[in-house]
Amino acid sequence: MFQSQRSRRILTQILSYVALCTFVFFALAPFYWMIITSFRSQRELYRVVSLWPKEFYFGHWVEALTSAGVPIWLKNSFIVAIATMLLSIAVGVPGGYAISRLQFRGRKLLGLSLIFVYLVPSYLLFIPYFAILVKLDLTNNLLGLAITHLSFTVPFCTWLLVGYFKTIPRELEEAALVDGCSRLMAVLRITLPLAAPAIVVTALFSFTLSWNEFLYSIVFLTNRDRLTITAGLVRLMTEDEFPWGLLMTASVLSAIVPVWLYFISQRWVIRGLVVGAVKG
Amino acid sequence: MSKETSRISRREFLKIAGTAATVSVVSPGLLSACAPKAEEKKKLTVFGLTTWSGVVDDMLGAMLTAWGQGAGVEVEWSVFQWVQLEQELAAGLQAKAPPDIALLMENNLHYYRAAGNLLEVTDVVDDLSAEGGGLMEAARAILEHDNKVWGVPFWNNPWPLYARKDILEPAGLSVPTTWDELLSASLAVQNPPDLYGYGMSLGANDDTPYNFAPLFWSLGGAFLSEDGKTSMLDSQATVDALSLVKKWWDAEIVPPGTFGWDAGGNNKIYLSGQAVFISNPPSVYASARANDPELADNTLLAPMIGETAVDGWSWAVFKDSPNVDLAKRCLREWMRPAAIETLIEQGAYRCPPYKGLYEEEYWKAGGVVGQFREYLENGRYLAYPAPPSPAAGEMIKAMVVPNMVSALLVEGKTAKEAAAAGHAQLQAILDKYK
Amino acid sequence: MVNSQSELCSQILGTSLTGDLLSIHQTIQAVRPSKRQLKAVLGHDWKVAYLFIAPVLAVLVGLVGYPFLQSIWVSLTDLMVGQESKFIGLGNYLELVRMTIPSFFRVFRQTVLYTVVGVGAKFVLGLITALLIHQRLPGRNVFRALLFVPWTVPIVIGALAWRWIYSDVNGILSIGLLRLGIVDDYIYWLANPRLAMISVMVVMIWQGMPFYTMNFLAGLQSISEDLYDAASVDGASSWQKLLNITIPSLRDVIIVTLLISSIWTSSTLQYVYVLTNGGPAYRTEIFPMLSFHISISSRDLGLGSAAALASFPFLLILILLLAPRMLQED
Repeated sequence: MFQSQRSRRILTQILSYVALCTFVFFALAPFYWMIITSFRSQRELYRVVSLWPKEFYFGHWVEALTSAGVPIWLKNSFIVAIATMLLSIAVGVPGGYAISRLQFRGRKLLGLSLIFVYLVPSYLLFIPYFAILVKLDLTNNLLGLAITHLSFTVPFCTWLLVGYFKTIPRELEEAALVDGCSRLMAVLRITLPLAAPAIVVTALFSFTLSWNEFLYSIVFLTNRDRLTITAGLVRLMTEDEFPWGLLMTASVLSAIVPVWLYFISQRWVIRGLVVGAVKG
Repeated sequence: MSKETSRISRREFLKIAGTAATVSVVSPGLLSACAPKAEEKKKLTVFGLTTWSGVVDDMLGAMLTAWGQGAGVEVEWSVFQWVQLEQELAAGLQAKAPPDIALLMENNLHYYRAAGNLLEVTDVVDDLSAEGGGLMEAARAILEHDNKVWGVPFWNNPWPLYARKDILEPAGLSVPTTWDELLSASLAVQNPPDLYGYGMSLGANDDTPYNFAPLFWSLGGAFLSEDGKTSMLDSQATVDALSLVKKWWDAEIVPPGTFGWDAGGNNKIYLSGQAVFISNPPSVYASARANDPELADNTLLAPMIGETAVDGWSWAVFKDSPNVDLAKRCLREWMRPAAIETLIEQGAYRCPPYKGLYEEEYWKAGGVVGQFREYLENGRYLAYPAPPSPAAGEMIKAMVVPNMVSALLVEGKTAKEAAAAGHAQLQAILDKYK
Repeated sequence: MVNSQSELCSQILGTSLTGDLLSIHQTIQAVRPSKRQLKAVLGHDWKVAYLFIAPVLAVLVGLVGYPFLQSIWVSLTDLMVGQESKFIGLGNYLELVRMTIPSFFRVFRQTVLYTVVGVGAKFVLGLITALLIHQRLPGRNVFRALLFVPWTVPIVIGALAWRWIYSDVNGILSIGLLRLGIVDDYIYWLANPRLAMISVMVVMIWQGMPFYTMNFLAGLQSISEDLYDAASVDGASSWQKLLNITIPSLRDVIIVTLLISSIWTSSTLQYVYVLTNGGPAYRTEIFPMLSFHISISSRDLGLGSAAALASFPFLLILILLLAPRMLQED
């Protein structure tokens, strides 16, 4: 009896591992292929199909890192993503706090409109945006792009934060108020430190959302030196012929940043999701 | 980023930081009124199309920058692919801020001309023609409307037949000159799925009408009536051409992947050595020359069976540009015939628009470019026999030909039904532009 | 409260009509609401709250509301790129419904299929992976981290990588299956009209699934072990525990995840844009792609905006059903 139960558990474990390995294979195989492709010469790509390159070719990497503009595009993506992140937090934290904690007319409506704003697809907004950016003389400008990114990072981040602030016991803050703290002090001293993990997650989300954004980047940035990496990739896909080697190299380079960010902050991401999605 | 840029972005940043949130609410018009407009160095924005050769794109940009330095003008040079350029122009025109200069294909040139967005450039073209020994008739025809010239010529793309010498010769075959020969040669040498006969583009992309047109023209068909107002697709020629495509499809000389191709699909299949024949502009040849010389050596370019298609690229000046005179001066000094010749000789493989250029040694030497002049002189634009028009441009973009082909081969309609559906779609487009 | 507000307004308005400035001043003085009244009307914390929400409000109104209204306006005009436009009422919407190539109903059907199947598959696979990882297996953190990778990379990059995998020219998937002897004919993943939609969905599922896994995993961690222990004592099977404890406990997570994902899935352009451009024979044309094709390829911004807005009512229904759940109070 005991034996059979134990062997059953081992069997379950083995099956679980097999299933997980299958999923991991499905998840990662495209990346393997992407990386391997970046080490193949253009001619080999068109002529040979094998799981391992006949010979390693570093030309695409040299080209990506030196001449093709990829380093500048990465730098630009950083600028846009960091600006978006900072602005989203600056806007989202007070907003999220107010919606979750404060009594004011229109609170529900505001909460509802955050969710509604999700629905507006970005491809519907690019022409009106372009007109606005032109008026503000902000086309071909990284900060102009960052502002458009706020249209999707702010609702999402605020909403995540609303959920999180709700989980922080109100009593803690009230206790501080009783002790003679001003409201602002109470928020700064008590609530914000408790919300720090959620703020980090939210920041991370807005960074990645901005880093990965595509349509606005390709429309609002035109000058080759001011492209972000996603727009740059599209620029590399010349219409008549895909330089797969170079494209995959640039793809690897631009994927490194978000992947690395998630690896270092996984624990927080999960906690953030718990509060954001579960109890929001 | 240059010093200049970082200075601007810091200023912009302060501007944004200061008004952080209000910026977005207040009506943009109000803001533009308050925004400081410093009088700076004059600036020209130029949008190009990719020539599919990095070297040529870079050279073109370098020439422009050099001109700007000489003239004391700041130039912004951006290269796009077709769809992207359209998107940029759509957004830019909507915001009343188009670029100063953009490179357009013939039908799009006339789209923007008809919409009243362009500036006449007759004087510039007259000067340049004189310098280049005259403009080829075929190149001029697509730039004019009401005896005015609307684009400064860049070059023309011929669509010849590519053939693999190293495959045909051992089989004792020569380059086919009829459709029957194309079929029989394909069947004789092909070995699917490793090697297909004719890498014909049938998917939803811009190459498909250019691959279909020669077939259809040779059977007496045309897309448009002479005045460009009526669809001619409801003809026997359309039905016959579609039937021939079906015959090739059933004989499996066309790769089954063709439905998934973008405009680069036939390029790829040829460059990977998996097709004996394709029809495409010489960009594929240029790419083979650069990346796979062995394939280039084994490639023959010949006039397309039936008729050879051509398209034409030219530079347009947008009327709303604050510096129209500067833009015209830029084109006059940057797009000189000698500059075009240099670009072509650097490996662009296109047809120059000026007669005088064909006197250069490069063209006299024969070889793969030996017939380029004839391609242009005898070639047909897609709108043939009508002049280029906005509607013809939309015919390409609205996928009229791919839709007919997929009705036939995917939906299982008859050739007659497919032709009728194509006719209806084209006529609807034409009616919209009346 | 609304009454007192409107009364106040009409009182001011009424006096101003008399044109007597002094009396206006007096009226304002007389009716100027006390702090208490304002608190009653605008909420207890209105001062701080309005200050705090001002930036969010600015973003919502200025960056989404105003441009969105502008899009609605454009959809009611015959605006073509770079041309003058005039108001045509619902003309674009009528044209959209009558459209034959591709037919509106095909696009509608495909968008629904794409969303429902995609979301369904992501849900099932996400739940399975979350349950697998949630077991106390050694090394589960490594699996969790690795499974998350596809979700973190830009969609364009995921789609590009797959396009190369699916390629009909030297694509590894077709050639690999052929060499392994699993199939005996070349498969045209993106060119075969019957396969293209499935191929696109595989990519979308590949990249979207980890979001489900992570959400479910987070939800699973908040379920108390006691529930399972109690069920074990009662002799419940694993399957019964899943149906009776796990899924009901995850209800809120599931609903919220499905909602967000349905919206993202149905409005994401990139997969179709990069992989098939809507083809072959419009078999993968969904609303965002249709709108892009009409506005950019045909330069018809009015009709294009209408096409984009056409999917909006369905999303609206979805959101109206589910928004209360997302806003519910503790």
